[in-house]
Amino acid sequence: MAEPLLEVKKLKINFRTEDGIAQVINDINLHVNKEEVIAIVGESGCGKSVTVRSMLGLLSTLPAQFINGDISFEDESLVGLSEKEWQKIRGKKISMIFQDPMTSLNPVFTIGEQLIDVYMLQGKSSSINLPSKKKKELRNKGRERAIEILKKMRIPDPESILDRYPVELSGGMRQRILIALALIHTPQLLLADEPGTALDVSVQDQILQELKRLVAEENVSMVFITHNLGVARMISDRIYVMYAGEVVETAESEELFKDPKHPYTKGLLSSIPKLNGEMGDGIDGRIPDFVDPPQGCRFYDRCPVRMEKCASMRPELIDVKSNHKVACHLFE
Amino acid sequence: MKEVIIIESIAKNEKVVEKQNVSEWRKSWRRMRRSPLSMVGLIIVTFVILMAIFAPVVAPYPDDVSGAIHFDRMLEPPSSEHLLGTDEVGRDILSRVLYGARISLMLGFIVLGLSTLIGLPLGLIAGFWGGRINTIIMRIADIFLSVPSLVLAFAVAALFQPTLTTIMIALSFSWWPWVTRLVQGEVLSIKGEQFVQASIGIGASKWRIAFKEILPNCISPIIVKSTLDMGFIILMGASLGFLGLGAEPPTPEWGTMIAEGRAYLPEAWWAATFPGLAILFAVIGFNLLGDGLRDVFDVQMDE
Amino acid sequence: MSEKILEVNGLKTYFPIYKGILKRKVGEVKAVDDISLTVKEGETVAVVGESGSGKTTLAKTVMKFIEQTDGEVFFEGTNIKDINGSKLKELRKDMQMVHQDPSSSLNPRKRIRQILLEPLIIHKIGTPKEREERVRELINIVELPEEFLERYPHSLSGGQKQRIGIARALALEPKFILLDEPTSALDVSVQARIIKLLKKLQKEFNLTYFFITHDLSLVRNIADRVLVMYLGTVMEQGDVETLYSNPQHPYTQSLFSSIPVVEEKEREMLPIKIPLKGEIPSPSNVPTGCKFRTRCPFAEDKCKERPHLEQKENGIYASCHFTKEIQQKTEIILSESVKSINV
Repeated sequence: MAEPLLEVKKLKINFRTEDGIAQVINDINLHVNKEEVIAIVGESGCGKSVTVRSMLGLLSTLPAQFINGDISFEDESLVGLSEKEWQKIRGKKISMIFQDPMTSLNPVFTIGEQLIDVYMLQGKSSSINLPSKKKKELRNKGRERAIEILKKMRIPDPESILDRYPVELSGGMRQRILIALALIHTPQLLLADEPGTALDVSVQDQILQELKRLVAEENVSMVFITHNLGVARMISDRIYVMYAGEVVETAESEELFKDPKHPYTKGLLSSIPKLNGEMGDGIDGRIPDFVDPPQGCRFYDRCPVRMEKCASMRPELIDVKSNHKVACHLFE
Repeated sequence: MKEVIIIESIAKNEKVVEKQNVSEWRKSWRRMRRSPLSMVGLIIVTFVILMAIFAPVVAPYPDDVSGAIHFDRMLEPPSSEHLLGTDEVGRDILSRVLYGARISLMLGFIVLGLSTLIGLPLGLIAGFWGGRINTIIMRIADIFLSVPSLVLAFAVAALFQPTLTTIMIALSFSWWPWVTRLVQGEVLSIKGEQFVQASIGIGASKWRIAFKEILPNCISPIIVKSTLDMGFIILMGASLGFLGLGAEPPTPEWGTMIAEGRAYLPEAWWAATFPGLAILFAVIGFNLLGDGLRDVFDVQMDE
Repeated sequence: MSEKILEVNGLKTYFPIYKGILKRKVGEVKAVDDISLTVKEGETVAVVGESGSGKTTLAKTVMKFIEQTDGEVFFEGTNIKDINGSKLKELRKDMQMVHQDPSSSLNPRKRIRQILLEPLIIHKIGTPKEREERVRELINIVELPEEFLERYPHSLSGGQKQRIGIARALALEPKFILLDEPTSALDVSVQARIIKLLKKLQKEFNLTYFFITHDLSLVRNIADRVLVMYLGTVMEQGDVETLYSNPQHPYTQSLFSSIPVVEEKEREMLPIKIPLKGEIPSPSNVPTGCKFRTRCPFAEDKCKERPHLEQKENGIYASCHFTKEIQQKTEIILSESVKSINV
């Protein structure tokens, strides 16, 4: 169980912007174990999407600049792979569900064509060079797999869905199709970028339940990024809380909600409107400038319990309990 | 006492504003400078405009712009005396090309100005009021668009005296629908923005919303389009001149000059080539600048 | 008993659907379909609904941005259908709106000062000097520094922009403010700040809020009364505290059960999960009878008749024939699940 599948070590990524160099990801460590679901939680601008995209090699071009660190998958480094090598990993070993179910499907192909096409991109060599007979065989297999995965997602009448075009489907159904697309090769790791946030709560809830079940059934590990702590709690085993390009706290999900330590996590939790009518006052201020970030703790300006040394010294992630790490000087 | 404080704080604010505005301009300028092609465009356009303004000072033989005839130096090749050579009646081509810039630019500015004058209000009205008014205005615009500009210019030239003025009016008539279309499209998309609704909610009148809220947001696309169109209109003006429908000789219009020099092309290549190069130069300049401006404005909208 | 500030009776807003070259009317979208409500001075009434529920259309009709098809809207006793021109302008002073998307609701070409001056200029309030003072006062009210007056909207964060939106709405000293999902585009930590500000302003200026949102948890924290909308009609309405402790309508129950909550206390409040069938029907083709019956797990033949809002035992109004029976059924399911855990 405790065997790491993917490990990110000391990751640092900059972005070149008009105003200068923005230090978007600052020294991040995280890992995903086999068959584990982790959630990366943070508000807009915290760098969660950038982190996840780097795990799929989608940040190799400017304006993003990889500064240092390592990302390893099954003990092999993913840093510096060529585009060709990435193609062997993407979709097969690591795949991703994107956020927007409206634009992530090609409107001119049917659902079936898109699922089968992705299926046929398997193996080492591309299927374009195969003899036509074998190609047909593969196509049939792809169709079978597509129907299988749609059935597993409990989509009624999967055969008829295959012949439909994306515009004919509702947002919720399209989001399900995107999940099916990501899982068609049964990858070892699934990266999910806030799926369902564009949808209504009841639909979102159904989809997340299905995703959770499916990931467990297929023994897939998952990195789930979201801004919604409630969603993170529901879906994940372990949570990383990010703020301004850094991990500020990480713990097992239940533990994090029972005993949050970092002032940011606490502020975030209290900001959420509760069903019993309790709601905190939020966190004053805004995220710091990434071009000229604070020397010490990046949360310094907004922190209600800041100390003198927080202004100048950057806090490191330290253990406060087993499986519970916090980056805050209060706990040293 | 209180007033002093207010004045002080206003003064302080002004400084902040200044700083912010400067950095805004500087950012745009930096963005512009980063693209070498648009800088080339900017340099060319500035050069052409300067030449047009200072033609009387720069031109070595200002008298040759009129109908002067010098039988003693007909069709002389480029030399130190006549840098671009002379034409079939011995006039200095450099001087005529320089004055030609005045005519082309004037033509461009007037045509664009007239088209914007007609097209912008119509587009604003069509897009903002919508409904039947929109249908009527846009169908009229379509009718004008269905007649090619050159054909319309021919027709006007056939009906009236083919002078520079009539040509400018003819071109404006065929150009305003483009402005109307652009503005109407912009207005439609801006109309959907919430700040327009917010303005209704405050109680603003329709005219106020159209001119104070929507119009300022249409300006940058109009500037970009006008810059890009400028090159095209210069080209059209020259084409009409070449066909003998524009400025009458001896006006040093580039198209007319090419037409005159064309007959002597085998023995005196310079007579037609230099006005031709001038057209090429100006058109490329405006197009590059237009592209550059588009990038600058696009990024600003993204922020 | 405080005074009614807004009264809506049998309001209907339909959008015609045209088809073909001749633009024949082939049907209509009943975005708001027979809604009645009242808002009293000083209270906050929330309208909750998913996308397509017609909550935004309701808001726009109340604000007279869209013409109503039928029914009446009274604002302080005047029927807004009858007024136009200068009287409408007068009315707009008293009813203001805060928009959903703060980055689209401020004109990008104007400085914050111009944006805040605009309502004062339009209504010819005060001398230029007085206006300037009022603008400064406004920016202080929403807790922003005065130098923001010189800035353009793009240099502000989402929360700051929304504060400007609120300041603009307050400029004319309205009595009633319609808040159209004012925090849905913001992060939760910022949302909490804005909600705090809105609550403070309500007390300070005795404002009446009409709050449109899709977030049930947020409603609990700001509203006194709530209406739950589905496909243009009200499914359930009543006092927030009672409704949240015991929702009657199966639609409301299913909405509650899907909320991803963070605290143990909240988990205990959730009703048992009610699995809905299918997805929200197209608004142009709404089921007859009870609009929810195509997705309701408890639907029976009787649901083909349209239910009306009726007061239930706990004082909540729900539009459902079977609230009692459903209550019993869910209790049985609940006790069974408890049993199965114990076994």
